[in-house]
Amino acid sequence: MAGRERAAEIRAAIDDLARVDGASPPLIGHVCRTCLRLAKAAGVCAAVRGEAGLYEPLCAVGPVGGAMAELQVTVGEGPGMETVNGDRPVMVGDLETADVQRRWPLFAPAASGLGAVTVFAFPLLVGAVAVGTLEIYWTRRPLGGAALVDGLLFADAALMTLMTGLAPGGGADDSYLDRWPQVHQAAGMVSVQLETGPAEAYARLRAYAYANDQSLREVARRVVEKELRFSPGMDS
Amino acid sequence: MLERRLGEMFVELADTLVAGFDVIELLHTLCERCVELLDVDAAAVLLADPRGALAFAAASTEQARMLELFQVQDEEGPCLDCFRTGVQVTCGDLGLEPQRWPRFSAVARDCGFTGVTALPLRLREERLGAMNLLRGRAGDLDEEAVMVAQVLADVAAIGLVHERAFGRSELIVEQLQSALTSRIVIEQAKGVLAERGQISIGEAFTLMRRYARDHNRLLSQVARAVVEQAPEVADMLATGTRRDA
Repeated sequence: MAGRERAAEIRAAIDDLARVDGASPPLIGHVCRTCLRLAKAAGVCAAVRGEAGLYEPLCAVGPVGGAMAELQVTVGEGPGMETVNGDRPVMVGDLETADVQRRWPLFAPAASGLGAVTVFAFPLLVGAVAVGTLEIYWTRRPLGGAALVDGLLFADAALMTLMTGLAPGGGADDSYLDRWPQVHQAAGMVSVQLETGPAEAYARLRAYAYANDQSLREVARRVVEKELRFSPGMDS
Repeated sequence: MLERRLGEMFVELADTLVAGFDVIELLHTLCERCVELLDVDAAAVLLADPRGALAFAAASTEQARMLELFQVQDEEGPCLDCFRTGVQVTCGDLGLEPQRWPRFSAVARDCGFTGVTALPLRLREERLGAMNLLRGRAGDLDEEAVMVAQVLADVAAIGLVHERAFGRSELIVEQLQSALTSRIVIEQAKGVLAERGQISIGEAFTLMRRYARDHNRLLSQVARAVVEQAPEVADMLATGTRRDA
């Protein structure tokens, strides 16, 4: 099928989904959910480049989407993290191969462990600058070139959506994001506890989550609900 | 002589293709060089804004600037026709065709111009604006001069498109980044206030919003001050506690 026809088809599918939610124009969540369905993927994440080049998730859908986004924030590496700081797509056919495991020593084994096999990450480019990324994860390898073309078209749609408004969410099934603000709230709280800046506090939260094998959102929830405090001498 | 000067001119214009140049500077150079190289007395450039309306951009003399301003205001003249159609528009003697652009012709003659040639500034199909070459004497500009001017205009057009693409994307990136950053900072500030005042996240947000409203400041500015532990944080907490007590 010609690229232009496919683009129109994808655009229409996103608009249809947005209409069901009474949203116009579509939100980033509608782009991700449409992509998940049409690409028969196991996870789709949209993220932008946050402070200091960190990966800041905007939306994550599908069985592995939320876990992949959170994992990248926690360990500070991965396909999306690489894409928001570069200008070219990252495509990995098999996350279990040795060179991929070397490329992302923390991300790749954990992602494989959660069932992800293949990932395509597309930069959302404005001119030559990547402002974000759209990642698509599969639990088995997708078929050939169609997935690549679709991915590029969905990345275009995602960028357009971001440019019309930075609104996240856009779907009742996007519960992943509901607790995301807590991560930044917790960073604010920990910055007071440690008498440091929020960037350093954020790094400490991520290190704690990784070292204790807990999800970053769970650690953040415990901080916000005052179950967990950080102290300057504490070892994460 | 002309060839050598032309060569230097290309180098000069090509220099502007490097990032960080100024559009108005580029167009002034274009006008001045046309006057220097060709048998014309003045040159001026009109540029289209994003909505497609022409606006004055540069001129080699004050008279030319005046004339172009009138042309834009009256929405009549060779530059406008040239921009609309995308092809060269010329009139060797405005006195012989008074009805073609009645208001423009009158002002042009007051400014001392008799002959005009308007050339499109374009890159492929994209029309960017138009350049006017003005002469005091009547008579058509020779073919070679028109060709040279068009080539110069084409080189300048490349510079314009380059700058516009660059400028636009920078702005978008900046807007996206600042929208995102202020969202993050607001969440961080809630955490800072909650911890310092030993209040809930919800209470912290209410406090911050109220403070922003009372002091007529943006929420994102207040949040930034909180995160940077500015002195007003203590003030904010004291006010909040007092009101709540």
